[in-house]
Amino acid sequence: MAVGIILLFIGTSIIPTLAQKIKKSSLPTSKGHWSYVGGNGPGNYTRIQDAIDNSSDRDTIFVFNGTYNENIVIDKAIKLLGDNKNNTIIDGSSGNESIIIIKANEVYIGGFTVRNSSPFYRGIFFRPNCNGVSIIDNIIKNSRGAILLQSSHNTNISRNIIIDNYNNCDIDLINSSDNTICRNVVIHTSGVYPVSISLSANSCNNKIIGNTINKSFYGISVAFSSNYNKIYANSIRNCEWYGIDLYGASYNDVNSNSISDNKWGVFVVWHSDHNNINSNTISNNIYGIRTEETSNSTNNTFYHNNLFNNTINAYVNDGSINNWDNGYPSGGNYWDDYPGMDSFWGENQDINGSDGVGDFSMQIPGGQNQDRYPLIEPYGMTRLSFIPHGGLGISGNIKNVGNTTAFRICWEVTFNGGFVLLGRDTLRLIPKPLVPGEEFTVKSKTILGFGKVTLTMMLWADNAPVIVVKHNGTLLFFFLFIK
Amino acid sequence: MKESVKSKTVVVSVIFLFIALAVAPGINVNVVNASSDNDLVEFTTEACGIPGLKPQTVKLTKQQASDVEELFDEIKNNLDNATTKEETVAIFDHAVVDLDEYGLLGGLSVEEAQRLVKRSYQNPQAMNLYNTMYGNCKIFNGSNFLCLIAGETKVTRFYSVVETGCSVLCYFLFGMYIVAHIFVDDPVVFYNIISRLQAISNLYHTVNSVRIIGTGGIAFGSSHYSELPPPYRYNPAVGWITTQGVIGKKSWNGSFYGGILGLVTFDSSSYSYYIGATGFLGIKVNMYDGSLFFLGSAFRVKISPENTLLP
Repeated sequence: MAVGIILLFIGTSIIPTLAQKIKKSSLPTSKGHWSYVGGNGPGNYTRIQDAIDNSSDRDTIFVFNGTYNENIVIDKAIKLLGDNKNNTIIDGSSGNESIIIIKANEVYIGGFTVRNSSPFYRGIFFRPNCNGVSIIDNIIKNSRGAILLQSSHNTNISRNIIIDNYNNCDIDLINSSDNTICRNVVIHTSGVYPVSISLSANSCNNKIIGNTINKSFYGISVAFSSNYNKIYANSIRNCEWYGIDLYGASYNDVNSNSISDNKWGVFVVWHSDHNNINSNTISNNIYGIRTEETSNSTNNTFYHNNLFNNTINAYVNDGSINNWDNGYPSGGNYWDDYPGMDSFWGENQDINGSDGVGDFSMQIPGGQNQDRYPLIEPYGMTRLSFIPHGGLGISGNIKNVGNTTAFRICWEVTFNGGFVLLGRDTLRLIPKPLVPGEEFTVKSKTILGFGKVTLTMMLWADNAPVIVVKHNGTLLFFFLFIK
Repeated sequence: MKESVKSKTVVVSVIFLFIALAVAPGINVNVVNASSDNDLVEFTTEACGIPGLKPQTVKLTKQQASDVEELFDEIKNNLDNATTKEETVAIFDHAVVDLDEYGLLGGLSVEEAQRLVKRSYQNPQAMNLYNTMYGNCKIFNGSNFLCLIAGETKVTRFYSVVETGCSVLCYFLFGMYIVAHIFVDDPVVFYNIISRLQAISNLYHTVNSVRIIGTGGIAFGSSHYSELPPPYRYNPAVGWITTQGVIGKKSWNGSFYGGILGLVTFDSSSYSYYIGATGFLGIKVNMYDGSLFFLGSAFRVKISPENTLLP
């Protein structure tokens, strides 16, 4: 009977597990076999393809410095490691294909110079449905486009130097989602309408972060139903036309990019809706931001962008009306040609006192759009402080101790422990932005309870990091004593 | 004895209790799935090549929609593994039966649909003729003729013969504009005439809606014209296509464009698709995510991995 009950316990614990679909991780481990190409070791291969052909999933192939004149096909989940990316060279000029063709999941390629594809092929070409591939820390050059992904997902393309390619997109994602394109340097792409990073044909949920792009036709193009992508902290300069181009693309987040010295900085066109373009620095372009042929929606939002030294900071060339601010007290954009003053604050800018927001709206040329809350100074990060006092509830002064205006400041106090009947949690928004050095007195709602409590105070703003402070205190009915 | 019976009863009860505990979570999982199946998914299906038949809308549960997607994947895998024409024909016949389970034959019976999807393919004289002409010709690497064709692709449009004719007319008129611009000193009157002709050509949308002539083709990938640079933006079709015909078995996977000389224009003259298959007869299924599944036969197929036809 005891054995029976034990077995039943085991059964009880296993069956629910079997009832659910388990997604097994297929990440490669370093447990496989290592083989070597080049160098002087006994048994080393002389051709990379020979080593690949004789490898199995999860094997690692280490390639010593040298120039390997071959086009390779990777059809197993292997790691291909180069000795040094400057001196371990795969040269495809003798072939009639892409230099590297990937036909498997979970491939890793790192530490190579990949150069000279034949004139109609890419440097690295993904066959459809190759997922979980990593292309990291390589140099890819002199090819007709560096990397093409087709219907491939969860790929990591990071820290590559992509240079002197031509006539195509350098990093080209077609119908590929959930990929990370991070900290690549893409420079000097030439030829007929080349694009440094292109997302098209339903390429969604990709992260394009921290890339440096210099000299191309377009910097980053997001097109044809490529939605929900995050384009953060990229530097895009000297593009012949657009820095960032949204073409039939929606719900994308374009944030904290530096976009300068292009013909047009940000171009939103042809049924591109619900995009969020904020906190970018857009300078020295002919047009900073331009919209064309958007679908007459009101749903693209531009705010907290710094627009300066552009010939025309923003231009709307169609009848669409988009949001050019984030409401009050979050604010709009910084325009270096804004002619207004800052003598009032409030949602209607009718209360005496400054708030870092212009007293009247900024008209966007070419249509009926306006930034209702243009910023007086460039948008940037600042710091806040808060020293709480006890008594009847919590009170204290929030102060902007940074150098730029703090927008949309929120604070929250939570009590833990004790016996708190009223006011366990207070969440408040300060009604105005705080200019540097300005203080604002806040007070929590009524607190009722008793016992020893721990107060957790959080303070943040759109452009200030979160501050978390904990204090111990004693609550006696309506009175709070903070230690 | 009484004690023994009591003990056994307790043991049996405990066993039942544990079994119930073990099974309940499994049942709950199914219950959750069933409740989320209440939302229905629309598929539009049409038999191409049968005059007068209108597209039909079929509503399936999410579970059934998922099963249909799996069915399409299974058809692809079977076609990938097929090595002979006979195997391909058998897969097509079986696929028609499977599609019928979900009502995706566009109003045809299984037998009618099986005849339709193989119609072009079953012309032995034409097959022999084309085989003699093109069978060993290596320049047709990206092509096939008189073939069975199946695929599931995005950025794909089906067109009728009427649309083809009107597209040709549109391009002819566009050419006339250019000629007028170059050679005529005061082309205003000339422009006016052409504009009226172009307005007439745009009637093809109305004509097409009547669907008098169902036989046309499939266009893969699109180009968008804009007055701003670059003048054309290209959006490839994405998915898979398999054919079995005069040139043997030909498959394409990934992103591609139609490669047959000519564009077909929909909606407006700034929005064109690349013709990839002509003379298509068969079943097409519009899926809720914008993909198109098709199963049938075609007179000619030509697919290019890159956009070789400009614009």
